[in-house]
Amino acid sequence: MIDVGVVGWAQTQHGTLERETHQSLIYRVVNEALSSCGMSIHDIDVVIDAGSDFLDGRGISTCITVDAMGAHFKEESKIAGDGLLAAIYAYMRIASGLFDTALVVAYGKSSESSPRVQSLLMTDPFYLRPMGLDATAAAALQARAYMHHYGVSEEAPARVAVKNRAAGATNINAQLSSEVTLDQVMESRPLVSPIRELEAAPVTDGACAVVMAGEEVAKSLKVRPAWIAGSGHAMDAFSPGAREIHKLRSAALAAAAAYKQAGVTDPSADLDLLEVTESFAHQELMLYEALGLCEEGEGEKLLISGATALGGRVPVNLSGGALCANPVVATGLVRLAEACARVADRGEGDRIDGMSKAMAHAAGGLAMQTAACMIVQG
Amino acid sequence: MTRPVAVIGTGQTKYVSRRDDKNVPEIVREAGLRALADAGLKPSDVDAVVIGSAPEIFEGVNYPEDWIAPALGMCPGPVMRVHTGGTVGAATGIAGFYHVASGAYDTVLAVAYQKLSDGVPQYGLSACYDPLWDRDFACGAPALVGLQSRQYLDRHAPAVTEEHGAMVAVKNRRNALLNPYAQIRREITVADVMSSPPVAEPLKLLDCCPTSDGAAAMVIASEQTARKKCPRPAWFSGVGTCSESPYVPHVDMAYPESCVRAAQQAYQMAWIYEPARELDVAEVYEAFSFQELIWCEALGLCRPGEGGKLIESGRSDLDGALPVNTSGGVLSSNPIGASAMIRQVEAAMQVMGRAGEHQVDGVHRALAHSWGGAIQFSTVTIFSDEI
Repeated sequence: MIDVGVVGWAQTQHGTLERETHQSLIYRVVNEALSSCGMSIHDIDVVIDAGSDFLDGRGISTCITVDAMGAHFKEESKIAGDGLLAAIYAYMRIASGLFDTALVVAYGKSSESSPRVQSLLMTDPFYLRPMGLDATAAAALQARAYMHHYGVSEEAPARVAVKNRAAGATNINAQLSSEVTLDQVMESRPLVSPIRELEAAPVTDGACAVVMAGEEVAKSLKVRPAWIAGSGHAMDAFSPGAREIHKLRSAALAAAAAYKQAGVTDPSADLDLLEVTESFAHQELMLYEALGLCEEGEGEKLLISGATALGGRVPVNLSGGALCANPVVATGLVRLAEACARVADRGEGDRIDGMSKAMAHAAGGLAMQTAACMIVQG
Repeated sequence: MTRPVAVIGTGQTKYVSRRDDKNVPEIVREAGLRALADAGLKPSDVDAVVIGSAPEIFEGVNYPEDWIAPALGMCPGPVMRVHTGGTVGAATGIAGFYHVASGAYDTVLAVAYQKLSDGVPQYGLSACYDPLWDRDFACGAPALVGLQSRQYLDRHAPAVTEEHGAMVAVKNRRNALLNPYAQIRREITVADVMSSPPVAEPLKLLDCCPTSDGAAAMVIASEQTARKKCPRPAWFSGVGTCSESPYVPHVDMAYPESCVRAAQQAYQMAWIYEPARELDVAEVYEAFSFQELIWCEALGLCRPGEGGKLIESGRSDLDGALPVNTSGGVLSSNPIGASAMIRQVEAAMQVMGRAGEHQVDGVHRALAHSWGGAIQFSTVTIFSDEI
């Protein structure tokens, strides 16, 4: 595939944004992403967006977001699911050789809806919906199976929350920007056992936009891009009962495809940073294993070693991750924007010296049925 | 230039107003496996799946791909759902094209579906309107296209009349008699259409499409696989899409600019200069009869205002110089999310020589068109028998 660079990115301040519309969020991130790389909307060949009809309470929500995205009289397509999938599709568009530039947009205003109802509607009408299985309950079954299978302590997910909330305290866009202690997490309200309130992502409104360009355009810009080194996505079986729920097979497959393309053979040595979508704290431990940062069942050990914290061997979620801001649909694209900011040499404050290769991960479905990964390098 | 990509197999379900025997995943599986069989492939030969459907409110399942796609037997594996409204079936085929054209995948299964009997279609379509500004006026698709049809008729009167719309309905229902997958297979007359009950002026019942349950699928492959598996692949030679804001005051529904621009782009890519002469068949998304004339004009298959003359001349008949909607069109079957892919499937089948009784002789280039949203999204795909 031809070389494609992520040349611009922007995200909103995340939170409960009562005074914002979907369009105002989109318009802001599109403008900011374009100006971050010195481009104008006229330089964009194709717009690929991600949104959720159910979340927006509309049918075909792009009908009324075309303007805000700057897609009027442009090639435009919409992907369901996380914005990172839209980024993968935009990458394919440029790699086809038919487009030089692409704009990727993802947004969500979860505060306008009930996350529980949203996830109940993700179940099929025949078998799972009558059981009332929602996202938190599915994740709790997954957490319990994972902890039981590998003998993981209940404190392990809580330690993930402590690590990510500490990281989020330095992220100006995060919704939750205060540190928490292990005791606070362990004593927080139980949602569905074993998941506690501080181990679950908040309900978040937000948007993210990313600008991509083929090699020639990317090199002509005044700013350095983060080059796409690999990508992959995968879906597992629908019913959580039909999966090995203590493992994340879709994440492992998505990462394997991205690693193969990027020539990554030892992820914990070859990657300098990961930004993952841990909607629930235990999922970050499962992701360590699925993404190959450690052996199966060793997630807790890796966390306790400090390897995944700031200053560790392979930091995970220096932004604070989804536990500090979870603008559903945009969450994975935010991971990409965060990864790009850390590795691209743009003379900005976000870059960390010595970091050159990072991976962004997005998840979807009940108990992480689907996954998408993209690797970028400075 | 991009690497060559072709459709090497197609599959459809029989379109009916209500499938009681199968649920959505099972219908999708039926179409998907038929496309694979047509291409001589097994599910394990597929590298990625692209799936498409119109608003998920139709079936009432959020992220329906998570439920439906695994039924194709390719999970765990890469699955992406496209969601662009009425154009989605074609946008799904086009996404399949880019999956292969990018070099990321070799063989892709693209499937689009809808089971409109699971919900209330016009309620679902009315949900497309902005809740603050438009929804009080929302009234589904017929009212919107009624306005479009009226704008078109008024602009070109008396060269275009209501009878011309009726003639489209008669022609396409006649073509559907030859298509075993079509839902409405009944010969009608212009008088039948003209005397059918009004729906949204000037649309009468027989000017309107049905609502359908069904799915369509295409196997999309690289040149290497296409040459090995298919004696006569349908090569993607031109692809164009265009979106338009619904809030521009001068939106021209009688000659939609998004359609004109999508066509220009596809023609440019396919090196087509005179579409009316160079194309052998065209499948356009005529959910309502007058739309066939509007799209033929916007696609350059005839001059603006000459849609009436086109249908009258018999040029767009099955045995005409440029047959339009040889499948019977959307007027004969309309599982909304699949409808735009059915246009691509028919165009590809015509190029592959696999259209059965409605096959047109000597098809080298075929066009598939679709529209969506508030007449604001357009796609044009051109298939060719050579690279």
